Amino acid sequence: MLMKSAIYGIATAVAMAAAVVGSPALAQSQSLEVWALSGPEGNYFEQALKRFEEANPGVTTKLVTYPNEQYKTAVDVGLRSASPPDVFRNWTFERAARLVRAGLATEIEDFSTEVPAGALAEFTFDGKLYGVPFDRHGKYMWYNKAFFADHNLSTAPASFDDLIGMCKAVKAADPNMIPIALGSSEPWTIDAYIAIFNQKLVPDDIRVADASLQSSADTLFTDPGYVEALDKFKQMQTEGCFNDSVNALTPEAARTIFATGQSAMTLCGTWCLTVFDTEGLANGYLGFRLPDFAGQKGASGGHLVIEDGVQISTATRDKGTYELANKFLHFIVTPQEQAEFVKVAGSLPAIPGALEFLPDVSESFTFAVEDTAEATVIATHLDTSLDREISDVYLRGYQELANGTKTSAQIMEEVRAKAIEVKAAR
Amino acid sequence: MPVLPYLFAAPALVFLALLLGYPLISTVVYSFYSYDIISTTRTFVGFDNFLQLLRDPVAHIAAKNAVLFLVISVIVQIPIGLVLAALLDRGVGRTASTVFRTIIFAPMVLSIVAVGLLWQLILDPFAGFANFLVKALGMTPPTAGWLGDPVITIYVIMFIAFWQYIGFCTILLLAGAQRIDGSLYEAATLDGASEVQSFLFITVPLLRNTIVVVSLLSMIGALRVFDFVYVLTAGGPGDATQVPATMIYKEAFFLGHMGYANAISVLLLFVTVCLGFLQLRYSRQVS
Repeated sequence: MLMKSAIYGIATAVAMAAAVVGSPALAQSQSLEVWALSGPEGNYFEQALKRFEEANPGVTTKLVTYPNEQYKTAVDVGLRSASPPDVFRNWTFERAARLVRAGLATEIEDFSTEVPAGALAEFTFDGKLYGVPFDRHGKYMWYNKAFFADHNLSTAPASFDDLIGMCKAVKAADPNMIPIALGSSEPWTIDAYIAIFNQKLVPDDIRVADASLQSSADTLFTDPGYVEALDKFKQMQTEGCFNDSVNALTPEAARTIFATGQSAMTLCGTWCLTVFDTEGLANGYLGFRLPDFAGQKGASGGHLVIEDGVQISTATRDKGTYELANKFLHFIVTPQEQAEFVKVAGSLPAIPGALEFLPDVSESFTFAVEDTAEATVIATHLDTSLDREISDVYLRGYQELANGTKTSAQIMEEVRAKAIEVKAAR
Repeated sequence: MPVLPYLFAAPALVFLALLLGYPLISTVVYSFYSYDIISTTRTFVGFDNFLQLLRDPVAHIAAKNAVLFLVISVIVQIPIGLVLAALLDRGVGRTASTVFRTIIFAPMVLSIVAVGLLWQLILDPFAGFANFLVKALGMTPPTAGWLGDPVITIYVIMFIAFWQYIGFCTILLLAGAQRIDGSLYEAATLDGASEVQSFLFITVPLLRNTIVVVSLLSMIGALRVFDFVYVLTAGGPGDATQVPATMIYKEAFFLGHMGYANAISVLLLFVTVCLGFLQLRYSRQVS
């Protein structure tokens, strides 16, 4: 009798459990973990995940954020850990490609009807799509409109020499004004200059072949344009374009110096617009692309455009969250969500349609959206387009170049040696 | 043979083996392999990682900075800690001693990251108090900035680390000083000894063992320093302020050289264990 009751009890429990599992509400009871950068981007994802939960009853979400530099390490460790994220933000090109090669990022669904093909190309490897961009950034030299107008200074440099001339004109107009604020305690701020200068001074085919290590070992990074690019940056420094103590100043402090009117210009990504607006320079600035060099070997009109996107970890295939992760990706590239992203993060949208939902954008923002859309020749940050070991030599070299402890030629010698080593190891 | 004591100790031993023993052995084993943080395979490379350490110019900088940190931490922290301990023990009244002890020890309870960010503001080349002070004294601040100069930045980091840890040394030395028999000082005073002479010929000799233990603790701390460097400079400018711990972090998590990072860890562990062994020996002597 007791045995019978026990069997009956177990059978009932199993039946109830099956019913519960099979019910539509709980079948969707899944959780999604998303990793992003802290700050404006994280703020957007926090809000977007709440909206995603509301739109998908039964779905719970978790957001994990890290500051920029820590994130790059954290995501590598996290993807290999026992509890990897389902969806994680990433940069394009090599940073995304290496995770694909390691089998940590999985192919995603088709987004060709939602996102422009050009934007998807940066996440496409061997003809398969491994990520979708959620924003784009352009790097511009922003200038203080009032200062330039008050001193009747030109804001349209046609060449690199004109840019140097602008620095001198600013100093002549006001000796206390810093021409260009630069904080390179994080060396990627110098990388923006070098990436753009490399694009202009190194022939495009050579630059692309070197970056992908397709050039032969005896020609890798030997083009004189590389040394010239570093020299041009150094020239800007010696000609007084930058503030002193660049390596002791954080990028955030440099933005504040510009936003508070202590510098006439600063080179910054379009994510800086919200910083400038909130720190006192709303509608008081505009931007221009870094100008070409006379007789440059790279294509003219090149521009540094960065795309950020999201990828899906391969672990979602085993966890059963792959479809939910794709659903979230489709969700954040809708025009409405892209508009929300712009409002919160201040970045340019990856989807042009988002502008329909953004009636009140600033003059600077409109300029950036239109100008970035026109960019045909794209330069990319070296720390995302080169192998990490090679870009590390560059990044360390920038600070030494600024301090005068290494020359451009020495840095390129080290870059070349590392590139040969990495190529041999592949 | 009684089993019960071992049974009682077993949970702690298992816990220790899992949390300490396993990672320790893994670190040693993996130091003989080459692998990336995101790779699925490991290649056995024998002693290559250790040989690379000898050739790596960044490792030389990190080693030099570690030795500087180690030597200067002893040279600076111990004498200052000793003088402060003597003053707190015999130089000021009871109430003042409590107030000063709190002030001296206060930085110790602050988060290192918070301390780092605070000092970053103080040392800011544009808005920082340090430049303001230096200029007010009629001097010129470093052109490359306190945290941007390849020569002075490591010393600036040391200064900040000492500022935070001097209280720790002082408290340990004060505890030792308070155990010295007061009648010795009374006898010295009757014999006409000054306070300075009492300090030099009574306090310092009788604190010898405590000084050795505190010195060893400072040296071990100096070898393990990471947070201050990471928060303030991340090893820059260039590699000027790399120390072993920041190098391990960078090699492992930024460059993906996990095996090499393990090799550096093993070497650092060896040196630290040697110092720890000396510390234990002297601790026993003190007790």
